[in-house]
Amino acid sequence: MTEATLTSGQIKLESSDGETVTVPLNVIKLSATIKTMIEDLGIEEDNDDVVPLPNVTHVILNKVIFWCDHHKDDIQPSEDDDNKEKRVDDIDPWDKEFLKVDQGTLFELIQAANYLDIKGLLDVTCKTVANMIRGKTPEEIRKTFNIKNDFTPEEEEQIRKENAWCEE
Amino acid sequence: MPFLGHSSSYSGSNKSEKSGGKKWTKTLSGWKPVVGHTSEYKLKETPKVVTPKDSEDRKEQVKKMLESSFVKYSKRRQGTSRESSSYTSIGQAMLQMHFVLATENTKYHPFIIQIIKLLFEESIYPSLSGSAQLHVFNILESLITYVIRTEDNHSSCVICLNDVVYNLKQVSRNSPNLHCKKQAQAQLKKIYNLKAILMQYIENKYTRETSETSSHLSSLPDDCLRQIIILVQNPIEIFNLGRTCRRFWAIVYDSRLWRELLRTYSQTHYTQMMGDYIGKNYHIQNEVTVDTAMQAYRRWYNEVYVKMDQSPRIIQLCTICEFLYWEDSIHPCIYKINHPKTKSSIPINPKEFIDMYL
Repeated sequence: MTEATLTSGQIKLESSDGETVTVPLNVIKLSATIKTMIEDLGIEEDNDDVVPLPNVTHVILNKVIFWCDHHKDDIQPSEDDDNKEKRVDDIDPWDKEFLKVDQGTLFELIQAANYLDIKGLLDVTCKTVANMIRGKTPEEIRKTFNIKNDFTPEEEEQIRKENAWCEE
Repeated sequence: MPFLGHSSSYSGSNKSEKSGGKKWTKTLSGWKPVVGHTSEYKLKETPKVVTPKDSEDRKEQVKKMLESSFVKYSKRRQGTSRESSSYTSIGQAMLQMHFVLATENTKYHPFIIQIIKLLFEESIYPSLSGSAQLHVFNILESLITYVIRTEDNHSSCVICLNDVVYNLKQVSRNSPNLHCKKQAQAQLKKIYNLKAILMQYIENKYTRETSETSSHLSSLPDDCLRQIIILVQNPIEIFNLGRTCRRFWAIVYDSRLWRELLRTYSQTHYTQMMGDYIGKNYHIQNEVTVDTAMQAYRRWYNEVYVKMDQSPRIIQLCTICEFLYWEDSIHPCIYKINHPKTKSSIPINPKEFIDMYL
């Protein structure tokens, strides 16, 4: 596919609940999955072909597209940038505002970003969750994320004993 | 924005005199410059720096600090008998620098949080005067109020409060003095209240609208969870997550995770020491047990990463007039006004800030 197609064309995506959304290619190119799909399947510009996304509902898909649209002109980190310093407290203010959603939506966004392979979105959503975990005791984490404790008291005691360092 | 001058000739309360070019006035939302006074103060004579008779110890300490951290600065100062401070206590310094007002700027939070952390960690806090201790509490309170209002930085705030609780507990346990013990307990109670308010807020924020059918943390695939855990970074906090349920324990108690942690952070923060720790290439050897990998990461985290200088340097020290000021505020130095292009300030990290007043 030529560079021109990527900047001007559009593509139709179908969400898991059957809605079709038309997206400019220069927006959805942030998704490595869709980019490869288009390249491999050779979908032409303004073609009637629809790319099915069985794992993403239309509500989440719209949010993902909204995010991609805002970030479409960002400089894409190259592969070597994996070495870049990872910090959890440097979330961009726009993203912070964008991620003021309930937990369900946040986790669905993570899953969608993971499936669509959108590195930036996955990074910022994971950072948000990591920030929610930091500074909490196990009990507080359970409360925050609604996690059911399925350890027996003996197991819990054993983990605590074997890893006494984490009580420091 | 107010700032702190070292010379006692600046200790008056007239802020306009200090601001070198702008008149400041205190408003409900903090210090604001008054427009229209831009040139009035330019021609003021360079103030004479008084040489306070500070203790030799402090002189030694400053000298040592300057020699080690600011080579350029120490050279400039050699041969002068100036002494940098007429404020001898850290509490007074924080008051003069308007730390409470500074909590209104998110950018200053890491600095303030680290100062508070250091005060407690290095056991400086118990030796502070009563009013200084109260001031520290005011700063904490104001910080938390701001964090709740703006939803910023709440996790570092929680970590800071946890540290404070831990250290206050030590004080109340170890102090031989009954009065100190009681005081520490009262303060501990206050901190618990602050923490409760903050936790309540965080809980409300994240648990609202989580319906039965929607996704949970547990519905994420292992890969995503591992990625999140790597961002948590602190081994103790990672373990806390592992201790919540069996599935998370299985992810945490897995050598793959700790090798990945080593790989991720050893690349970004590679040091000679790190090389010694993972000399055996823990991150590429598959047969390494989870305990070995975990230990390697923990050791690296505690002994290298935590000590690495990542401190925010948001307070600047002017080398000419020896003023301390917040990074974004107007620099008050007369020299600076006459030589606008010369760089005359050096950044100060929280540790150095505290050391100046010890």
